[in-house]
Amino acid sequence: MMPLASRFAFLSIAILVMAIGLPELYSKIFSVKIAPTQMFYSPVHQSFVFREHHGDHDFVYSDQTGRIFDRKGFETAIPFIYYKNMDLWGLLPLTLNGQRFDLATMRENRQVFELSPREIKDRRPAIAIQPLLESNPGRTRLQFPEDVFRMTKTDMVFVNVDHNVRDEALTTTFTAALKQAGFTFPAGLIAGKDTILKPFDEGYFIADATGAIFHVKRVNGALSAVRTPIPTDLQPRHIKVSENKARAYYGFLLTQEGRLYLISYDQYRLIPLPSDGYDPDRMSYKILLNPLYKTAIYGDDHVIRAVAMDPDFQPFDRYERPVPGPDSTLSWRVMTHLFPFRLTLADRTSAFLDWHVHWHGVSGLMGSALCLLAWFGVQWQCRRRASGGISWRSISWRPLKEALLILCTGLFGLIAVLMIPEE
Amino acid sequence: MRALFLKEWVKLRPVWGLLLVANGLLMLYLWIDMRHHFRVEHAEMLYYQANRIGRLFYSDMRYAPLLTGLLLALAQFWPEVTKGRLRLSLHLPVGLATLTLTYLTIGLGGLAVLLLLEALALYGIIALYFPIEFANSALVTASAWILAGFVAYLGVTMIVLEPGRGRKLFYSVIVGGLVWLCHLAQHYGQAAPLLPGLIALTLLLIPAVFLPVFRFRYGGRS
Repeated sequence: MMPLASRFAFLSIAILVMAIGLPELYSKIFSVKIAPTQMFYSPVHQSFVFREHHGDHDFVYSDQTGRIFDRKGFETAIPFIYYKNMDLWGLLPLTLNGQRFDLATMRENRQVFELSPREIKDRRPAIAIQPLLESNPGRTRLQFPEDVFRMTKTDMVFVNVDHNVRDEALTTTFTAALKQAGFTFPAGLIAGKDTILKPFDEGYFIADATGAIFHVKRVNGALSAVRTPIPTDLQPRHIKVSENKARAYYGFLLTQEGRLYLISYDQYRLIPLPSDGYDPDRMSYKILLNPLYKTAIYGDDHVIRAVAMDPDFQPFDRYERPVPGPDSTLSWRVMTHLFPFRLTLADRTSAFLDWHVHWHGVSGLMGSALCLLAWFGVQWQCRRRASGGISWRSISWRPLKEALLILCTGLFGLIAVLMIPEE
Repeated sequence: MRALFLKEWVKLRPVWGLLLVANGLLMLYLWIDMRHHFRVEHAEMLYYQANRIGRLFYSDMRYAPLLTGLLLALAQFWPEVTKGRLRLSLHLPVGLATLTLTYLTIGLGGLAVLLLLEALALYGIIALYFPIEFANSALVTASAWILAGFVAYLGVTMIVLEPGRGRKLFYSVIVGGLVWLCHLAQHYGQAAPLLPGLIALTLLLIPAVFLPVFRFRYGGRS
């Protein structure tokens, strides 16, 4: 019994390790990288244009009507994206929809906000200790304070970083200021951009126990806490603060239900963004803003969707198309036949490593069947050698258990039972 | 049984002591290194690097548990196999399973003490300079490395005890793969969801060790 259990234990480990390692090795040797499709709304052609990658150096520049561009034609179709090239080629200033745009106007009036799944707070590891930057540093660059804060059940606790001790004075003052602004402990979501590599500081958006969202900053050494009018029942999952010189939007607000908003500087007004078919756990979301149009683009490995909106964020055109992925390549098809499944740990949509099983369906089963045939061939040969002949009656049921294992685990199981045969 | 414990302890004591000193020196170096950082750089920048950038100030100890497990297993089983002592022990009036478990208990117990001390030292060093959240995060990050120590101990035990060369090689590849999984994470806390699965795989190595032991006892070949 014990040898059987020992063998089963090691076979399980071997199959799991091979299910990670072999497809990984195969990909390193044979896989072809397919760049994600890029899509934009062209203010020049009044249609969606896209760049699609088909492997190697094969890029297709086209629009929704099927018109093909060369690279320069594609870039001039989206002048707010490639405005530096437009300037270099002497194509600026440009007149669109009766408005004239030069280099400076284009640079100042374009904004891009992006949210990828791995940026979402619950999809990446984090240490819940943040610096509260001085938002009015009195000099050109921001600088880190000599303290950091954590939100406990009852306080906004400050810790001095030089001595790693609690700063009682700051904790008392700032907690009192927060409570005075109407904040109810304990805190929920805490969102901010804790870096000095940004043009200015907008502090943090912090949800309190009632669901109210407070905009918290350190201004001239004191705490500034503003209770925003953001509805308390909104249940924000993530807020991505992106300080931008245009000072038009604080950033994205994503709800638990997967609805996405821009938070406006105008009284923290929420601007709903198109999110039909948007899955924040799988899809990256990008919004491109220019004086003529706003474009929302979101998608995953299979599909890309774009929605064109007027300056008031009212959608007036939509387009979606499938994305050519690695599954269209020969190396991918061979892999799905070679292995019935594969285990991966890294995932483009999460900053965590986790166990992900990918079944290869019928093609994987075909590979398993071939492995099974190979296994029966080996068995047949071994028995013929051992007994000088073979009959069906001489086949015991023992190898059939192994056959079942190979059928389920394909090449991984075949290698494992060949290397560790039952004795 | 008591005699067996004593025999193994007497055999392992010098190596275990050396490993204790080596790991102690490594943790001392880690503390000196951390202290140095805080003396020459601004603490707020170190906080920024440790949190937002994800710099691991303790990455020097990444492979220490692996080496500790590997050396302990070699010290325990290499002389047993090469000097034929294990074959003698296998004829003692003790069941094969009991004998093997006794060996493993001593080895794994000794390793656990070493790695526990290492983990405690890491926690203490980080907590000395950073708030407790950083120390907790360091412990989660180092857990996968610590598991690699146990994988190395059990894996090397299997490889050393295995009489067949082909199987030795196959065990080496699989155990090497498992060690690789334990070191995959590059950022703090990244491997946290992997830990239950890695623990399960490491635990599966304990019964797997009996596979080469049976083959060693009954003269298996491949």
